Formats: sequence, C-alpha cells, structure tokens
Amino acid sequence: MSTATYTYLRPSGLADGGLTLQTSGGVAQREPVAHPRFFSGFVTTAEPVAAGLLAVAEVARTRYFQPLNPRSLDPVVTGSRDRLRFESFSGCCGVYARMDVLPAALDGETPDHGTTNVDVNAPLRTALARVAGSSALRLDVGPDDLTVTTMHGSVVEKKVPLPTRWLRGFAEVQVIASRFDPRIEVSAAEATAFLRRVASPTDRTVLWVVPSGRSLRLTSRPVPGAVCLPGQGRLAALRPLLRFATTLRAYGPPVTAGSAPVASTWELQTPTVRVSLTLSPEPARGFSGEGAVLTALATDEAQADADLVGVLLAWDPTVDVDALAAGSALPADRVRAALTQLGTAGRVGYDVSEAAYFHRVLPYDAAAAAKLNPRLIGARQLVAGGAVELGDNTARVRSGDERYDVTIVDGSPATCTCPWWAKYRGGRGPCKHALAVGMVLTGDREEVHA
Amino acid sequence: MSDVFAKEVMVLVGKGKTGEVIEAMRGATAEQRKAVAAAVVEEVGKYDQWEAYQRRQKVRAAIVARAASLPTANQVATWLGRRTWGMVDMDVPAVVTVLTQREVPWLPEVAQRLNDGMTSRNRDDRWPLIAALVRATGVPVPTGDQFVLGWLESIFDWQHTRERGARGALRDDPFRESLLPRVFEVDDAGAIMTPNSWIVRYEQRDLADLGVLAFAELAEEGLVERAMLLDGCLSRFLKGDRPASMGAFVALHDALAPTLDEIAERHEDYARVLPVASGPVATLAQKALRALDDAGRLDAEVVLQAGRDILFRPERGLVRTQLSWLDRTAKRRPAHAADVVRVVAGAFGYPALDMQERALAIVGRHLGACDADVRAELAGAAGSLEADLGARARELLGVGSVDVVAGSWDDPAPPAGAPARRPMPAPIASPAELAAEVTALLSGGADAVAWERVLAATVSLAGDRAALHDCLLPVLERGVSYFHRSHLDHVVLEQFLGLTLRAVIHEPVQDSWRAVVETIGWLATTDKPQEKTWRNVPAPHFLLIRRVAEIGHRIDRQPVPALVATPTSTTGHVDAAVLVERIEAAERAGWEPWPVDFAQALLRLPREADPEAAARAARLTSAAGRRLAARLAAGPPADPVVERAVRRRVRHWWTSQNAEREMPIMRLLPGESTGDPTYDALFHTASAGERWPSWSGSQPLWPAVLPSHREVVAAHLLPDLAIGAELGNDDPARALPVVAECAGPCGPATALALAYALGSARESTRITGVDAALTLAATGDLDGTAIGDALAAQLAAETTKVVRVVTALTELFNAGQSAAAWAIAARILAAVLPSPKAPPGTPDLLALASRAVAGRTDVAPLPELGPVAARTGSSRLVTEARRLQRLLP
Repeated sequence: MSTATYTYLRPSGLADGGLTLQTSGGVAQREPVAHPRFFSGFVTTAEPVAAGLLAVAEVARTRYFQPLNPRSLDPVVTGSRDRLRFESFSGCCGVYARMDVLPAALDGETPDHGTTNVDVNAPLRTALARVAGSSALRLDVGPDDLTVTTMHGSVVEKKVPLPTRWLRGFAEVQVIASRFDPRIEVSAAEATAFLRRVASPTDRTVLWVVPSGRSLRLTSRPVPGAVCLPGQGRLAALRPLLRFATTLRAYGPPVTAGSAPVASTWELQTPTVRVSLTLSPEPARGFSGEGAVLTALATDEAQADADLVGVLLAWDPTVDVDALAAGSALPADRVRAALTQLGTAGRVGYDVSEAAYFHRVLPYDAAAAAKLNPRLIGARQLVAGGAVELGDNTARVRSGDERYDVTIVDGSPATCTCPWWAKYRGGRGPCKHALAVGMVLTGDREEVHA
Repeated sequence: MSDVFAKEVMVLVGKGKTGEVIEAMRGATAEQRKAVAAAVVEEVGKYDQWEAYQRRQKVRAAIVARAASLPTANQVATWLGRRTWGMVDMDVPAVVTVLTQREVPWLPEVAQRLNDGMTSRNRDDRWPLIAALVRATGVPVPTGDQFVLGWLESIFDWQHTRERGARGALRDDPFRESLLPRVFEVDDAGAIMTPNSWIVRYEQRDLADLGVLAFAELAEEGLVERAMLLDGCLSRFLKGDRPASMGAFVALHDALAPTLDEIAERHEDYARVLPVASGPVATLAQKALRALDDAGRLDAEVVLQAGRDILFRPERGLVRTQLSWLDRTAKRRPAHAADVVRVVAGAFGYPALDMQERALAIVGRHLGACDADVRAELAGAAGSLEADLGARARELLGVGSVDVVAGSWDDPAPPAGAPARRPMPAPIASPAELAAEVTALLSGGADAVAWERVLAATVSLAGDRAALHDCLLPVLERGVSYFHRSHLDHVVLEQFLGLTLRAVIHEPVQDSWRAVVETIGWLATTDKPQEKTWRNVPAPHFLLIRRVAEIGHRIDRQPVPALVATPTSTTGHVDAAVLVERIEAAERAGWEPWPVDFAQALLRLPREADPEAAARAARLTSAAGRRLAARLAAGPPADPVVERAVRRRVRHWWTSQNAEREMPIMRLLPGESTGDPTYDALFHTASAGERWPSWSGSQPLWPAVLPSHREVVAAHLLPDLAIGAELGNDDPARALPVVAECAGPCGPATALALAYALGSARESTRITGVDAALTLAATGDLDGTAIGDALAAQLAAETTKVVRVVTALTELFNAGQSAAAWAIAARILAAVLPSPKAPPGTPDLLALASRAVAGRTDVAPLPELGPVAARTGSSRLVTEARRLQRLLP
C-alpha cells in the first residue's frame, strides 16, 4: 500500500465572503502541476454549492461498511472548460459521490483545465455549513498569485495511506456507471418523501425501487425497470440537498426478474448543481472487487487505441464519441472500448446524467493499480505456469491441488466450477480461472492471426 | 570491558530491577551503551506480545535499559513504540527518568516521532509516554487528533475519574489550555466524553465527575471561557459527527444554558444548524431561536427561513413545534402573515394527516392576510393534502367545484408489474456446465429453476458417465462439508444432491455411508414417511428429497433418458401438452418414467383443462400414460380441507421471551383419498402442529412442487413463518411472492401466511409480504378481511405491533391498493378500537385508513368507530377517529 501525499499552500477556507479551495498535485492541460488553478469568480447560488461540497466531503470521510477509524483521502476536483466536478470515494470503496457545478452556476474565469486534489478540512466544513442564502459567493479553485508567491514555508502537508483497492474502485466505478440508463425520475416532493422513508442508517438489506404512480415503491425482488437500492442508509448524504432539489433521478443497468444485486446511481438535480451517489451492489462489496474491466485489462487489446484516444481528449465536459472517432480514424465501437480502458486507468469519468464520459485524470497512478488487481495477477500466474489446458468447449485449469473446469461459449469463457464464480455467477466479473482461459484463448487467436 | 558492564546490566534486567538499571546507566560510556543495546535486543528482541507479557517484569527493565542506550532519537522512538510492548504496561516514569538523565538534545524529537506514529490502535499504549515526555521536555503540546483523543481518554478514564472526578483531573491539567479548543474539532471526541450509562448508575456519582459536564462546571468556576465552549459546541453542530459522539455536545450545550444575549450573538449559527443537523441538535437550536424570538429579538425573515428548513425534516416533534411557532409569528407580526402562510403550506406534503391538518388550520386562521396570488399558490400546494383535507382546503380557499386538488391519492395507479412468468432457461448442455451449476447450488439461495436444471441434466447427461465423473468429482470432493457427513441430515437438501451425484458417477462410498445409501434407497421407493425422523419433515421438502434420492437409486437399476417432471415455466408448471409428448416419447422408446418423478409431473399440471392434450393422452397405453390420461380427463383432485390449528410455542433456548405462546397455523385435513399416495401425503398435515421449524431453507423451492395449489403450499409454510416472524428469519417469507404467482384457490392459509409477513419485525420481510399481496390483489385473490382478522389476532397475542402493520399497509396503499389497505385496516380497527386502551400506533392506523377511504364510495361503515369518535378531548386517537368517521358513510 502506498501513501498519498498532499501539499497545500495553505488550508482551504472561507474568509471575507470568499471560498478558496486549495489544490495539490494533479495535471492541468497535459502537464503535472503543483497547485493548479481551475476557477476564479463567483458561484451564483452559494448554498447548494456549499451543501454539495459538504456531501462530497461527507462521503470521502465515511466508511459505510465496518466503520473503522477513517483516514480519508481528499476529494478530487476537475475543471472541464465550462463546469467544475467534485468527486470523492468512500473509505469502504462502496460509495462514489460527485457534484457537478453546472455552467449556470459559474460566473468567472477558468485559468486552466485539469484535475487536482482539493483540501476540505474541519474548519472549512464548519464554514461551509454556515453558508446561507442563494446569493452569489466568491469561489477560487486553486491559490491566487499572491498565495503562490508569499505563502512558501507555511504549507499544509498530509500523508494518507492510499490502498490500491480504493484507487481501483474509484477508477472502475466509472466503467460500471457507463452501463447505466436513467430509470426513475420523481419530483422534489416525492424525493423528500422517499428519502424520509429510507432512513435507517444501519439497514444493509438489498431492496429494489420501482416507480409506482407518481411516487416510488420498494420491492424485494428485481423486475424490469427496477433500480437496486443496496443499503438504503448510504443515501443519507443526499438529504441536506433536498431543500434545493427539483428532481431525483435513479440510474442503473438493465435488470430482469432473478437478477442479482447491482450498482445504482441516485442523483439530485438543482438548477445549478447536480449531486449524485453511486452505490455498490451490496454494502459489504466495494467497487474494487466488481471486476467489470478485468476482461479488457487481461488482453490489452484496446491499449493502443486507448493511447491514441487519450491524446485527443481535451478536458471536454462531455466526450463526444463521434468526434473522437473522426479525430482518431477509429470506428465508434473501438473508441468506446478505448474509453473503457481509459476509465480503468482513471483517465476519464462517466456522467450518467449526460450519458457521456468526461475527461478527468485522477491525480494518482490508477493505471498501475488496475494492473495490480489480485485476480489479474492470479490469472497471469496460472497462464505462466501452464495451468490452462484447452479442450473443445471447456478448459481445464489446475490451481494448486484443485482442478476447475471453465466452459467456453462463443470463443470466450462462460462459467467456472470454482466457489467464487458459483457465488456471484459472473456478477462480479470473471474469476481468475476464467480470466486465465480468456488470456490463453486470445493468445491463441493472435498466433493464428500472425 | 563494556561486555562486562552489559552483563551486569542484564543481570539487573533479568531480576526486573528497573531502579537499579537507571542507576547503572547513569554515566555509562558510549561503548557501554552500545553493548547494552545489543545485549537487550538479543535477550528480549524476539519476544512476541504474549511472551513479553509473561516476562513483563524483565521486559519493563529491558525497555528502560535500551532506551538509555540507543544513540539516536529515531532509534529510541522505534524501540519505545514497538507493538510488542502492548501488554507489558511500560514503566513510563522510569523511561522518562532514564531519558532525561542522558541530557541529550534530541528528547523532544523522540516525543514528536512517537506522536507522529500514533494511531487509534496504539494510542492506548503510547499516549501516556508521549504525554510524560512532553511534560518533561516542555515542548509545545501536540495538537494532533490522536493526541487530543488520548488526552480525553486519560481525563475521562473510569479509574481516573472515580478517584478524583473529571473536574478534579481537569482543574490542574497542564494540557487543558492547549487542547480544549481542539476537543470541538476532532471527530469522535464526543464519544469519549459520554459517560457509560452503566458506570453512571454503578458509581452513583455526579455526572459532572464522569463526563463532558465537567467542562460546564469549570466554566462556572471561571477556569474555562464560557464563550469558547459555546462556540465550540456550535461549530461541532454545524460540522456534524456520529450520533454517539454528538450527544456529549448536546449535553454540554444544555448544561451551559446559553443566555439570550449569547444566543443572539450566535443566532446565525443556530439557524444554519436547523436544516442539516441531527434531530436532537436541531431541536435545541429551534428552542434557542424560539426563545430569542419570544423576546422579540429575531428578524421575521430568520423565523420564516427556519420554518422552511424545519418543515422539510422528517421529525414530527420539530415540525409540530415549528408550526405553532409560525402560527404565533403570524399573529404577532401581521405584516408577515402572508409570508408565514406560504411557508406553512410547505407542511401540506408532510406524511401525517394531523400535521397536514394543523398546517391547514393555520392557513385558515391567517387567510385574510393573503391576496389572490398567495391563494393560488396555496391551492397548488393543497394538492398534496390527503383524506378529507383536500376537500376542506378547497372549501377554505373557495376553489369550489374546480378540482384543483385532484390528487393521485384517490386515483391510485395500478401496481407496478409483478415479475412476468418466465419460460425456463435452456437446459444444461455439458458436464462442465453441470459442475458449475452444482457448485452454484451449493453456495445457497437456490431457486426452483436452478434446482430443476441440475436434476434434469444429471439424468440427461448420464449417458457419458466417464465425462460426468471427470467433471463432477473435483466439485464433490471440494464440496461443502455436509457431503462428507456420515449421517443423513434430513434438512439439508444439498447433502442428498451430493450423495446422489456420487451414486450417479459410480464413485464408491465409504463403509460408514452404507446406512445412508440404504436410507436413500428406502426414500426412493417409499410413499410415506414411516420412521419418526421423517415424520416431522414438511411434505414438500420430503418430496424434494425423494425425487433426488430416486435419481441415485434408479439411474443404474432402471435407466431413463430424461426426467418427465422438469417444468416448462419458472413457476414450476409443466404444460399438459408437453407432458403428453414426453410420455409419448417414453412409450415409443419403451421406458417407464420413474414413480416419484412421474408423481411430481402430475402435481405440476395446470388446473385448467386442456382438451386437446387430454385427447392425445387418451391414446396412451403405458401405465403412466393411462394415469396421465385419467388425470387430464378428470381435472385436478379435490382440494384439501383447511382448518385452524395452533402451534404451541414452547420456551426455546434461542428466544429471550419466556412466555408460552400459541401461534395460529392451518391444518390440512385429508378429504377423500385422491388415490395417489403422493397427493395424499401433501394434502395432509396431521402432525404439523408439533412440527419443528424446518430450518432447511428449501421453502423457496416448495411452490414449484405444487404450482397449482397455492393454499396447500401456504399451509405447509405456516409453521416456519410463525417461527420466522419472531426470529427475523427471512427464508420462509421469500417463498411467498413465488406462491402468489402460482395458481389455485387462496384461502385462510394464504391469508394467515401474508399476515405473518406483513406483521414481521423485519422491514425486508414486510416488503416481501407486500410484494405477494400486490400480486394477489392484481388478480383479485387478496382476502383483506381474512388478513386483517389474522393480524388482529396477532396483535391481541402481542406477536406483532400496530406500527409494523402500518408501514406495510402504507406500502400497499402507495402501490395503489387502497381497497386492500382499507379492508385489512378495517378489521384490525374493529378489533382494537373497543379496548379501553388502544395499542400504540392506532392513531397512525386510523390516519392510514382515512387516506385509503378518501374518495371511495364502496366502503362500509365501521360501527366500532363511533364510541371512540364520540369521546371528549382532542387526543390524536380521537381526532383521527373523528376524521375517519367523517369520511365513512
């Protein structure tokens, strides 16, 4: 486990009616920068922005599952041309929060575009809670010139353990969300009633939500159109924003009767900001273990495309696949595969509301963390040890003293006889045996091509 | 020379003479220190925590000796900070003495390094040492989170406080000035300052001696600045914390009892707390601001904003207080009355009729101050008013017949679709896939579909026994432990599957399993449980066991190419035409289906007649064919008689309640024999009254055993539901939505089963019950009266509570089933209203009933309501009863 080191020129703070968020590390345009500046001006609605920032900070410092002593990692802010996005990821790796400060809320200049860490400290939280009214608030993301030149020597340094699973989960949740569609939309009044209803903070059961008349209904079983609600108490961070909300939207992957629990996104919209929480399929499951991208990582097929597409990204608030396809001379589906690959590496995020990726580079080495996935390492070891023996439509994998059979359907691994696969039935990505078979299969195919 | 010295020191260490070690180390040379450091590490360096604890005398001296010897701050800090010393209770004064007598300049660095490495895990061990070093060296007091928490722990330590009291400890504490402001900033600090309620009772001491109130006492003595404490509390309230931690600050705030001047100075912070803080914090802020307003020292705009913020919150108490505060504001400040009314209208959407009513009454009182615009706004907001309040609002606002308030409350949407009946997925195609599916079955949560696919594939793939053996053996060998048990546990379905699969792949069994194999053979050929062990097994579970045992028993004795009972739909039904085809194929190929499998196939036929299939079946000639033809011609056998019974719940070790209780269940009485022993066994529950809970978890598979007999499955489920309801076991209830999707008449057993689920202590079980109820309601099969009676009986027996039932019925109502919600509520009300003291939650049930009957014309009056509605007074019970009375014909 590595360590995240944050160096802020001074603590973020709210003084003289202006909010200054200090930055540390990350990139602006294409260069690594120590203290980038992404915005200087006014937010038109002070209170929703302050409440949203508090919600994002709240998720960053919470462990929803097994609440141990939290050493939280700081939120991340991305300045993408016309908007600011604040993201955080809970310590238990099960909740992802984002606030999009929309163009309507911003009135000022954007000196630079990029992604960086942002300091949210205890006094700042108190100060943000004091922000009242819908008047404009001065906001600076990044230190002003004066601070840069005069404040040397009084830096704030923080070292926080950086678990690879946290980093992997943060990156992978984007890829998981890219398979979501909007499924539920209710008015603010119904959203209030619903969030009042799902109050229990300790409830860890997995329920489903379906539209029922103008409101929402909980059900114990998935039906088409339902959105999974795993661990309802994890939505608590949204509640302070209800005062400003116009609608609540829920997003999720398609489900049918008999579906296993899945992830979901819950988004409150106000005219100027959107705040969303994405929940893992069960409170005990972190996004890091969902394995949504393992197949893509195992083969590296899309890596070259990803490198090409990555160069073309220019901090767009929404990534236009067609424009990228034209720019890279790649077909659209390969661009999408490349974006998945970039998502895994933490180099794009996914906005369910816009149904589009956005350019964002996590200020950590997420690509390396993704490669360190334990299942991926296990699979590589199996392949290197010659443990995979291909048959007609099955493959044998020897792992230690055990032998597992992987069935192959349409040229890719389908099921396995290991207990892990049995438990999740592919709902958390392939097991290491299936991954190893997949690696051997594509290796074969490449040899055939060569 | 230095070796001799080291040996001497080690002798003292061995004897645990710390004092003499300190003396010996005084003035030791660098060489000598080096030798001691090496000798100590050789002696105790390899101990683990437990070994160190066992030799703690020696280890304490050793720690001191090496601390006196190491040459750098880093090394000393690492040595002292070892986790190994966690249990030895380090001699802190000795360590500090030996370090200070060295007169090295880097002692502050030792303290700092230890402090930097302090975490919540080692805080207990480290803090006393760091604190002692800080005091000894006079360095600035560290203010990191961990140091603050460690300090609080030392102050509020039970041992410590019982001797001197926290007040006494704080009075002359050297860290107090530096650390006190931080107490309000560090997360979780409050939890440490909250005295354990047990200790409070046990010690019978002043709370101020044990917890956070000590600070308030010190403020009174003038030792601590009151303003700092008050500001600290408010900043804590704004920031939020875990509820366990917040309680301390609420208590401190109350003990400080801020004056109006103090509140006035901080009124902005109090106002900001209202929308976001936890309930108790918002309550105290509301109280403070209201006191200020009563003194005429608050702007009207602040009051209005407080109203907007509070009326959004879920807490009843806060909303009620806010409404009366707003009412008063409108009276006292007529200029703002219209604004107040607009804010109050925000409570129209609050999910409790009495709050809506209060809001409406306030609006009515101050309507005179409202112009046409405000009235139009009010008319819009009134759309969320429920029950009779909508009509009253129309009248009040003079909107007249214009149906502004046409809410969806009296025009509920149809229920969201139940899961559609799915066709079965494709059969398992290969031994490897079968192996994967078997592994999956063993990981639990099985449904009938997965179970049936595995059984079907086991028989259809048995042709290539070698391939099957090759794939299945690793899975079975890896298998869950119950595969390896030498006795048969009748509740574990998976064990039967494992043994059967072993028989199928010809894997020899150990000698100790012979008896088990014989039992399997007996099970496969018997019709009725004979032995006592098997008599208590629920009939559907028994049939599941027999069918799987039959595979193991007959696969070699009487090979068949396929099972005939494999369902064609996920409910478990076998299409009549498909079954006829299967038997036709068997006749052509000259084989007879196995008896248990065939009996199961007949049980799975739909109830509806299929003349075409019956005609084809009439041409069948085999024994099975003739039976099928007879069944298709005659239709399903007569349904069994269902009769009330009681399951006496004896006192079990796993329940905390001592009283014996009687749980109602239903008995199935054998009508005239169906002529089919398998039917007869399932249509009969003679001993179910004494049956133990089955614990098998196989209940979700039961509906597919009898997919055309919902009522029979429900009757078999009841003993488990009765137990599950009180133990919070979800498994039996999971079967209910599946039962609801099946076919056949519904009767008292189904109603009672739903009542158990709807009154369950677990929310997820109640929601499962609502799912089942919605499915039944959609086809008109929901008997609300019977469910209501069953729930009323459970309330009388105190096995459920009104509040639970209200949440379930609210879900039913919200899903559009207001008729069903009313039918159930009416029966419960009829039972509870006549009692002199209605159970808690009854007003909520009355309110729900009002919401359900509003706008309906097809409801009957409720005679039991009259006496309650006629009572004097204005308790919630009486007001809600009057409201319902008004809405009923």
